[in-house]
Amino acid sequence: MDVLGQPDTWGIPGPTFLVFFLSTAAVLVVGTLVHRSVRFAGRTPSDLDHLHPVQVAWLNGGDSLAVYTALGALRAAGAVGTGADRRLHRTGPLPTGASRLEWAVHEATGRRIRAGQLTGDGGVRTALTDLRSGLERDGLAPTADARLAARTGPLLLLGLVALGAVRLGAGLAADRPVGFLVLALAFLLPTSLVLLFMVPRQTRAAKTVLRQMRVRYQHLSPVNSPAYATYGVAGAAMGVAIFGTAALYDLDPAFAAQAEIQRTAASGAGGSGDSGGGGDSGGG
Amino acid sequence: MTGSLADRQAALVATLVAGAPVPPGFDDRLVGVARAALLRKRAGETARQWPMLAAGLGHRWFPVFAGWATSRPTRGSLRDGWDLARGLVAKGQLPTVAAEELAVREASWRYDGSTAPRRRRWPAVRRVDGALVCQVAGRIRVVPLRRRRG
Amino acid sequence: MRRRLRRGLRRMTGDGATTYGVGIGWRPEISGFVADLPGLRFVEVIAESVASTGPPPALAELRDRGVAVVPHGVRLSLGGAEPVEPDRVRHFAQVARLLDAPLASEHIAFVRAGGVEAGHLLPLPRTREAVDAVVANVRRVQAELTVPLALEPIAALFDWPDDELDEAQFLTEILDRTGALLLLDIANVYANARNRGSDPLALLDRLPLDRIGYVHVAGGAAHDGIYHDTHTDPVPDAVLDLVTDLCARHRPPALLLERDGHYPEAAALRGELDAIAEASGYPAIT
Repeated sequence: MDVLGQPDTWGIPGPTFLVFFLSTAAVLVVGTLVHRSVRFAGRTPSDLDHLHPVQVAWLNGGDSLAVYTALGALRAAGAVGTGADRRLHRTGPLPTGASRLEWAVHEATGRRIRAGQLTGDGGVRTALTDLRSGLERDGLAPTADARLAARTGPLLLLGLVALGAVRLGAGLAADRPVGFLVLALAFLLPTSLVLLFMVPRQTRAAKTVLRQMRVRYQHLSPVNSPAYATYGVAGAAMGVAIFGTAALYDLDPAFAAQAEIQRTAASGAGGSGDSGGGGDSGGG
Repeated sequence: MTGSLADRQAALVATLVAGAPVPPGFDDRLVGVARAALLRKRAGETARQWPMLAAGLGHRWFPVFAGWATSRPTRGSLRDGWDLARGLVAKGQLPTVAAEELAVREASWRYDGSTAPRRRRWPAVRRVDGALVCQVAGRIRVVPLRRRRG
Repeated sequence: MRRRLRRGLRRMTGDGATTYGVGIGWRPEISGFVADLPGLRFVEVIAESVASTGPPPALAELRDRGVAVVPHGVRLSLGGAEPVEPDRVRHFAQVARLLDAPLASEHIAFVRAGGVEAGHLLPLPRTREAVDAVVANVRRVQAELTVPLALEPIAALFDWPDDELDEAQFLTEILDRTGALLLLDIANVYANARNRGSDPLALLDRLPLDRIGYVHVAGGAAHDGIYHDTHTDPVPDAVLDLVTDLCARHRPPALLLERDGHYPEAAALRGELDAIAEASGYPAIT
């Protein structure tokens, strides 16, 4: 019975339910965040030089960027090209020192595939799984167990939200005040969805590594118009891995456009406004 | 050659970059070679800023650029390519691959044709054949409107 | 305080006080390559490409590491009949300060006239009027610079019709009246001589070699019987031979490989730097 003598929903007074509801939610949210902080810490590699560009690319942009990095490396080595049909084809042999992913992409280009279909190719998918396992072993990507465990908290939270929704429905039907409950649900529903779906692909150690790579390889950023011939195939690949497909467009704009590679991580098309940076060759 | 240093220098510049005739006393052939060399260098710089425009015109890039640029002194390679591309659009002669490149630039920068281009602060959208070029906060996304042939 | 001491130690004059050996033109396109050169002790950067807020991080890193960075202007138009624009001079001097540069350089050329930009370095008529114009502009720049200025004569495909002075006289007079140093572009000497059928050594012997601040070495290519100093081609053996000839007469404190585009594989660039080192007798920097 409440102040006005009306029956409580389910026999539980409003404030009591809210306290139970909010404290459980708080425990779940805090628990999720703490769990994530612990299990997603990762291990910093002792040596950044051992990271292959496709590994850096996967940590930075997932499957698609890893595949585009492999494609960029193959293009820089003269091993792939596109035709007027916008499909990829082989133009040369696999370069030495190629990773398994590059091998798989090179194989796939023998099957008249489009660049956008590469992540769906069987061989490429196997190579990507392989890549991810390697990163998990190195402590740069969270293991599948950790990712699953990271979803437990949010799922429980969603369950709690569902309970709150049912209580809300019952409360509305009985014409009871539901203001605070609505507020709580409005906050908790998006929070639980975000926590459920936004499970990071990398560990915190990997994020640190990516920051360091960005600084170390700043010279490969498309804003510098890097001389890819000077930096070689490895340089071209690392450029795509760190700076996205904008680097692929910088490396070979005709190829990238014809292969219809989506411009991710591209800042408003380069171009300094003034050619005052040019040299002083020749004479009148 | 008579005239003050200023006049003489202005005459030479006009010859080399604005299509004026060779002033008396100069070796016609050598001035012509210099003019061509300047155009080549300018074409190269413009192609670096507008790779798809150059690629789209292929072996016609230099003749088209030279024909357009001979009487137009440079305004910097970004504006040179931009003015040329807009000119080609007006005549319906812009290669398809160059159209997306132009749309990306138009979506990212504001250029009125007479003052220096400025980066756009607000989002912008431009249409190209079969796609929409969207710019938000400096990032470009090209959205295909229909499946391209091929 | 440490900065001023560093600048004093790195004064680059023609009297052989400090030598820097072989250097390379810093360009954003090859900044990663330049950063990895172990023996590098000096670079040059296009002055107009450095923002007034400061150099790009990669260049600042070189400066902070003790590598001498020299700003090289290309748009001041010192040879123009019109006085050099104050804003450009101000920026030029500011860049020299930002880079902690031991000296700065520009060209004996003009790039604009009659309100039109040539977009390129153009040769001056070798007249006394032109000498006066250059000297006046150089003095305006020197008034704002706190470090010495070196002047580079350019390669010219054609000559003006009524030159009063020859190349050596023209240059010497300008240097005498301004007290500026000489930035000798050995590739330009080669280009001018080859295109006129004259002997590059004859010109070298008439130049004030003891006034050299540093030397440019660059590549080019011949088309239709004319040699163009393109800066986008490999350095020809003939130019390297001239470097050896120059060093036999007077070894300059520093030599710079100037490359503006079509950058080759790293191994080729290293090869060119090594070749210049060998030709000049300086240690290899690769």
